[in-house]
Amino acid sequence: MSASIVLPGDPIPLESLIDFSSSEAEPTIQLGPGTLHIPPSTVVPIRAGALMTSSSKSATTTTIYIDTPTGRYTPAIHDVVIGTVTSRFGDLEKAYYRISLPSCTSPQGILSASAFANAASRKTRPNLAPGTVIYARISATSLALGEPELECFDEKTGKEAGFGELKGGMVADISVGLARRLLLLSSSSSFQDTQKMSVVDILGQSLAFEIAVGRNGRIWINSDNCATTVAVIRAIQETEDLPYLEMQEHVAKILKQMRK
Amino acid sequence: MAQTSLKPTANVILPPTTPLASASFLFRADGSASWQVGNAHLIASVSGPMEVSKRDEQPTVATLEVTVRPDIGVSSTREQFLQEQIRKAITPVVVLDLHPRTLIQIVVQIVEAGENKTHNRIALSAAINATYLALLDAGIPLRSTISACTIIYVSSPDSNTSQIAIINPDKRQLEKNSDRIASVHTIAYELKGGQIERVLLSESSGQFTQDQLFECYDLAAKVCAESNGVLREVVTKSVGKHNAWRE
Amino acid sequence: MARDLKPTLIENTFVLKALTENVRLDNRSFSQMRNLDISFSSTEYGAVDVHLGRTRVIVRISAEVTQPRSDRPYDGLFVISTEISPMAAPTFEAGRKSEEELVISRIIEKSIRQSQALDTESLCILAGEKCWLVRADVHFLDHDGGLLDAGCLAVSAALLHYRRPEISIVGSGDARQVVVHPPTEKVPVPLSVLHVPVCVTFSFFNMKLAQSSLTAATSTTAATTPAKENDEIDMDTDDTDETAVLVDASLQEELLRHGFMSVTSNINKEICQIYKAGQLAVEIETLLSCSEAATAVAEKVTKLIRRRLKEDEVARNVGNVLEEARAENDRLVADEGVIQDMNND
Repeated sequence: MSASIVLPGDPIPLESLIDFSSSEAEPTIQLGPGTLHIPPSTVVPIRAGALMTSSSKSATTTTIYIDTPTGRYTPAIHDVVIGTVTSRFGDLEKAYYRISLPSCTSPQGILSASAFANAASRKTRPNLAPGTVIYARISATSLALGEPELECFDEKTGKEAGFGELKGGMVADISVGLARRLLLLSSSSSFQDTQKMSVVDILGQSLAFEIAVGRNGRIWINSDNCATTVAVIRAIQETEDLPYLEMQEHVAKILKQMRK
Repeated sequence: MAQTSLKPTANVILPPTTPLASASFLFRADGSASWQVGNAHLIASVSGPMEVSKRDEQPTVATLEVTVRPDIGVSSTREQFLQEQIRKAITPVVVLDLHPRTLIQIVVQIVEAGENKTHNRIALSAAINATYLALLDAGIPLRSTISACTIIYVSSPDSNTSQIAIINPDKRQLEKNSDRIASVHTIAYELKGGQIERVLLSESSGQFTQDQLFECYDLAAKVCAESNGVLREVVTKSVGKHNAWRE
Repeated sequence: MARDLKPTLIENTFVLKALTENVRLDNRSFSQMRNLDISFSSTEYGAVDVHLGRTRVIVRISAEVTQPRSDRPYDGLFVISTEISPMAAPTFEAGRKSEEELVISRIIEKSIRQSQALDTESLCILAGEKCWLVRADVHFLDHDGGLLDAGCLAVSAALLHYRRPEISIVGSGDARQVVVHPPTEKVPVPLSVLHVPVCVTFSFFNMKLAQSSLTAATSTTAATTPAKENDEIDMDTDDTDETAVLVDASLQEELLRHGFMSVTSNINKEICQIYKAGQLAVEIETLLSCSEAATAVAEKVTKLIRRRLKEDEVARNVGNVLEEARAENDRLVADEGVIQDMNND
């Protein structure tokens, strides 16, 4: 975990990060976020942050990336985001929604009215008013076009899978880094070996609530009463930069205040 | 270029303190930084990349918008000048083509100018340093690091000896020597891995010789290498803070 | 530009619903202000840095000698500049005044300049010829609601902190000249501040409206009811209990409120101005209770400003330099007990 912290332009010692000698196949380097390739063989960081490597795909492929805690979210395909409907355009047959994405480098996304699970007929298509909050997945991005395309169904099954309009509850903004961390901790088992739990898991032990995390630094929380929802939002927002033990203490404090 | 550490000599007066910098303290802006040197105190904020107005949109690159706001009174040619110089210094380092058709909005607020309103001696280098740190904090893609400093040359009281260089002068030094200032130099260097790469900005006024300018570049290289260390410290601290949860 | 400041439908519903359960999003009570911190520059006079929660404002006071207006030869000039830069929030455009900005600058103007907080007659140097122009430059650095309240108290605090250069008039008749002495020559003098106005903004939420939007939200047509219709509903209510009154609203609350009122008052319980433009109608009782609450806040804030000023003076006065340079040195020592008593209460 003790990753070295690099600034833009710092040399990345590829030799010490990747084992070029032992493997039979030629090792492959994948360049992740925050890195720039300068031909022929130089890789430099373009953001300040912790220099990280991961080799999840196969043993011969190593991804190098810079873990930057701050800054905006750059849309990438398959990421889940939480956005707000700002307007509707197109005709009845081919209707689209313009979705605003907070903390995103492309502030607007496009969602086709037929990109929903039950969008086969016009009748079953959802009718979304401006201001509606939606949970969606990025289906296409392009540097040339700029605006990412969104979809509100699971592309593997064609089912709704929780995507679509978020009804009730409350949205709140968190940092893009924290959003990534929450999604990572919920999907992977990276924390299990250390017996540590994410703030969401700790809250889940004593409170009942629903949560959706958007990669663009927005969360949605729903529960039976407002006090619980407010406590969950505060706990997530206020413990971002705390070490594990302090985080536990702070969550306990917020829960105590809530029950008063 | 030799990069030994700075030592005061008979002809070089070092600032009493190292620059004081901090980052990530504004909540609305994507990135923020403050830079204090001499009596100058500046705050820079960066927002973006975000939606750009149709008028300023550029098809292949991001648009940089720099606004400098004075501590006292309304914006004048002095702020216009600062804006242009900041833009000139940072443009070669920002990777603009990664976010085409977006806006990167930079605002520099002079909190305390640290000098008379009519001059730009110390504010420019502090503004470049603050702006760069704010860009880093906002996660804007950058090719390398920038450090800037200001050096003034004053004629010594006894006219026999050569001129004295004062690095990043404070208000008292500027006022005391106001009628003996021979030349003022603001120099911004690009650094990679803490090593000087090239000059990004060299803004000089007054009377000086070519040799003196080269001597000044060497001196500035040492000062910038030092303030680059300050930059690294701030970033390490702020990245460390965001990684505290791992502990 | 990031124009997504418009709150979402579920935020609107939730904030109102939470208020019916007496919950604010940052766990404050309805009448509780956020943390307020005031600090002064250690090098310059009249430079103050105010944090109100996450909102941050700095103010710089400056003075120069100029000519008085011909219709007011005995008055000096006092200008407050409140331009909001995109630093506070990307939604503010540089060089273009938004409506919000206009309201803020107008209320600060009314609160401080028109309430004669600064005695402009004391800024007169030579009637009709020379006077001081005092400038307050308000810089909003971070916007999380309450720009007006933070800006107003920052100007008040900065005026108290500022010291203008001492002047003397040399020569006589037409050859009279004003000489401005640098601080190294003569000790700068404080401005004549007559009172300390503090502005408190109350945000109103119509709970009847909240109820109706809540019932609407549970039905499926909620999404199709645009927020705009809500504004057009006749907002006068007979029962004051139906209006929730919040002190020091956060940005989110500001964006969702149905109306607001700003009351500026001072420690002497004098109301300097009340601003209540349009939107939700309020009962006279609400107005009175708000005014009372505003004076209580003003007292607390004024005491904090005085305390910080005192701390600053002690910090500056290392080695007793200022005391020695002062002409009224002896008298001040005699009065010290009285001054301390005033600061203690």
